[in-house]
Amino acid sequence: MPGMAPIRRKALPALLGVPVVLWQLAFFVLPLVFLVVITFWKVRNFKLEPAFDLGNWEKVLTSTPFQRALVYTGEVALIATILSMLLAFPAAHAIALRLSDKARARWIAFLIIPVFSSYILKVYAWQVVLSPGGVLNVAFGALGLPQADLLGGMLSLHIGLLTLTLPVVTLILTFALMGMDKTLIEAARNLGASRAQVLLQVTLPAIKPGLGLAAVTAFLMAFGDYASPVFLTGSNPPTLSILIVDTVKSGSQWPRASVIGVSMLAILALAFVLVQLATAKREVQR
Amino acid sequence: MTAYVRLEALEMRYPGHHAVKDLSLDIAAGEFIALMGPSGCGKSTTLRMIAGLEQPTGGRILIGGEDMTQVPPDQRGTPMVWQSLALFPFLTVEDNVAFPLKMRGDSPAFRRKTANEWLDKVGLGGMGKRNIAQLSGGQRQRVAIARALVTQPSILLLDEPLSALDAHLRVHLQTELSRLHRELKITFIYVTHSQSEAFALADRVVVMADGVIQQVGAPRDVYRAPVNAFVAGFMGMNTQVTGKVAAQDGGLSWLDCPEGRIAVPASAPVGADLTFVIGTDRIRLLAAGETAPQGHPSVPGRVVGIEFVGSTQTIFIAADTGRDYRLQRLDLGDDAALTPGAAVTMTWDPHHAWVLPNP
Amino acid sequence: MTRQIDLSRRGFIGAGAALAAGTSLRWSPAYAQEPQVLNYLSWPGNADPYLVAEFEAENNCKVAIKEYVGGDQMLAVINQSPPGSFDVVLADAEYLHLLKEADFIEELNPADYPLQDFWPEFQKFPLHWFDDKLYAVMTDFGYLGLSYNTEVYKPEEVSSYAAMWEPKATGKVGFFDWYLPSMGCISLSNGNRPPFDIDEAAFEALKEKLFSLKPQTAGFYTIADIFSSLRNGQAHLIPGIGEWVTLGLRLDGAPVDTILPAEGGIQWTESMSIVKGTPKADLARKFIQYTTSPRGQVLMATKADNKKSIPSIPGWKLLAETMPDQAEVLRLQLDKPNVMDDWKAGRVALRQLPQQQAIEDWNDVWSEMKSL
Repeated sequence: MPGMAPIRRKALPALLGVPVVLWQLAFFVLPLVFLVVITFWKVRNFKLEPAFDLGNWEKVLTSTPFQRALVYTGEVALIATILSMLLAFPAAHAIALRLSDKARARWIAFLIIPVFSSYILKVYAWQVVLSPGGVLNVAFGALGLPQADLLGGMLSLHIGLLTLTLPVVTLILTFALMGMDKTLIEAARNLGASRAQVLLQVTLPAIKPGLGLAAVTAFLMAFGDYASPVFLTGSNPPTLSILIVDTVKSGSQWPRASVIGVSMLAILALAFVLVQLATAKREVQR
Repeated sequence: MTAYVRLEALEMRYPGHHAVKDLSLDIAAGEFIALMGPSGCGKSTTLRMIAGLEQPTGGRILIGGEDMTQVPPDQRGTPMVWQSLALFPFLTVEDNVAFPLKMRGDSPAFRRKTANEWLDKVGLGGMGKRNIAQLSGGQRQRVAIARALVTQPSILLLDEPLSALDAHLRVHLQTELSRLHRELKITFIYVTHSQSEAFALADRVVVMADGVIQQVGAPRDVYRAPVNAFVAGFMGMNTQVTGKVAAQDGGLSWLDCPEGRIAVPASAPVGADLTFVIGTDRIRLLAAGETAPQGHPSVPGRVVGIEFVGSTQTIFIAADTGRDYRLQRLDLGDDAALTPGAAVTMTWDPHHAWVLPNP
Repeated sequence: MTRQIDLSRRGFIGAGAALAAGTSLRWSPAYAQEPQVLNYLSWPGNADPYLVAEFEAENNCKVAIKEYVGGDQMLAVINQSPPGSFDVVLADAEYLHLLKEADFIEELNPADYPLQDFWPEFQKFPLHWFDDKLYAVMTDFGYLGLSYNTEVYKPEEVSSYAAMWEPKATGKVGFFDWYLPSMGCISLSNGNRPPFDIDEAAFEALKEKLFSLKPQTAGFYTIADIFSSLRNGQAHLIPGIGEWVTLGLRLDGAPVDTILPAEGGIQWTESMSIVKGTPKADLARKFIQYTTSPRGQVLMATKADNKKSIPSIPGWKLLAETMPDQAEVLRLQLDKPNVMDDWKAGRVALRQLPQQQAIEDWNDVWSEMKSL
């Protein structure tokens, strides 16, 4: 049956993809649909009641705390993204292009471990380190340096967020750089590019999709993070994630919390699409 | 010959590997020289040292009389064409070619004009706006060459530039490279493991093995007069016969070897050990009933197999002494009897045998 | 054939119901129906073995706690759980009328409980009685005022809430992230008595006063972070909390204390009620009796990480006999100045829900304060 072979060849990968599709359907699409539906429900006597009420959307989108939190969360996530990219790139560059294979494997393992260790625990650790009576200030005191108010501001917030984003961003950039054709760098040097020119004109453009992925990932993680803003700035001011919790805490407003959640997802989806468009430009031209 | 590129006692040691050993070579301005040898012989490392991509652990590199050993690669003016081409996939064809001009700070207008001139020269006129991914293998190769030549360098380095291409395209591009070399009159340093490529292109070939230059010379000279067993083997003369000089006769020495008493063109004292090779195209088979001419050897054996390459055929023969011989000739259509196992007798003109000076 | 279809349809509906139950955020403990399990809806830590081990041993049962933080969350949990999920609820007094109105709690027989042992002020505590019927029994109470770092402030410096607006406090005023006690203290500082029963003008003034504290603010803390921020010096002043936080910290060596400023403090009161419809009313009654017994009261007062005042006079006596040093630090000594003095002096207002505005309005102001 010669005619069967191509069909079977096409059917097999499709079949193998089914569990993934089902998984996504069960654990992403369905909850998302449920979340969107809930945004139109009502709360009466702390109980959810099905309804079609646009009031939740109006109430949330026009509320000052939401608008402020939106701007603030966006700013924080953007700064966290820029910081983690700037800090991660030199490290990733060194790991991917300068180290021996053995040392590289060790460093990658070293970066993977924090991804799988408790983030909350690390945030607590930062609280202990940065607090006025904490490790750093005790050390400052012992050295005769003035005490520094490190906890509860942009500095501590971004230290916390970097704890979350930096290992992941460094890994993504490392893999992107490892995946690039290293002869491109040699070729550029050979064709008259200085080291700085190689970086700007060759290395960065060559890993543009990786840069986009790393940036989106950092933005996504920082944008949705709850632990760092709560524990390192004392919710002052609150981010959108904190606002979700607050909205639920005060009066079980699941529908309004869902409005915030859906809005956040929409923003993240938008960021993702924009970066995809920006980094896949060459593909589009084809 | 005045050297344009001079390599002086170059050394390259890696941990646990001595890649290039005490290598000295002079290359004339405008010469087309090919570095050849099996993989791992140090030819690519030598080329990369000339380009400044590897820092030699010893020795000096002079280009145009200037010591370049410590000069960083971007300031050497030694553009290279890679086997992998190393084209920038995120740039258009035109931007790839203009890349070296951009790096040295030429104006956009000049870059565009010059890049397109070069694209015309390599037959890619009008393709400047395309992406690399849209080009065929041969077209990409031309982009790589144009990109290397766009700054009008005095040297072009080529690292196995054609080995990734199919045979037809390879021959086609060989011709183009020859043409470019003739027109530009600059020095081409060409690394290859392919004997035919080196012979087709180069004014001189450098045969390397194990980090050491074995022989330097014009292709024909190297082919006809290999200096040692390695070079002979690399040229395809794998059959090497060693014997003791039994007699001297008018510029010929008679060797006693397993194949019998065979004459070679050498004058050596009786009792000396000599090793000779014979080119595969110099051996011929005796016809049925024919005897070898006076003074020519007569070596019996059996056919092992025949390989056809276009109009030529290679016949593999195991001599009765157990030694393997190879014979190359035009396919004359008279090989019906040459089935594996068939008995044959080989002969050659003693003057065509080559005695290795350094076996 | 028909039967098969019927079965599978029932299975499908069952699965759908399970999914709905899972997604509608209900709490359904696996062993809610076990006779030997007392299901207890309470603030965190109240089923600690220190508190309930003796009761469990005596009655051969297990106390299973579902914890909540804040009355709103308590109401949400009880609203969203199927009847019979809980047997006993521990609630702040100000939420009792909501539980009563929603018909979640049983009327109690006053004769079952040692109310006559309580301080006279608490025997007929107004928030526990509806139409002269008892619905909850007080288990413990405490005062909320201004907690402060004793290395930074002398008591006389924090004798008024005004200390929070001083330049010295810039960036050092922490808040418990719950509008009710936090805004209650600010209301007191604005001269409102009672602090939660204020008209629109006073509410506007409260809002302004609250917002003017924003530049002074260190953060809005969870319960865990209240403790850590006071201990590590991140916050030097926190209004609306009390000795339930600072006493334990102080005993542990942290330089912290709580004062009832001149403008007054707020009393919080916890009480237990029997959840309506429980099949384990007997066990529930016994649990409340145990908690209000002298022994139960002593344990309630002395739990290491949550020190409280207790309403039972025999409880005070037993505490003085068995743990005199605890009685002293807890100021639960009959023959010395004690916690009842503040109450008797009229310096303490009851914590109530907003009387003239909706809870949501106060919540919104709080959200805005945080986001400023």
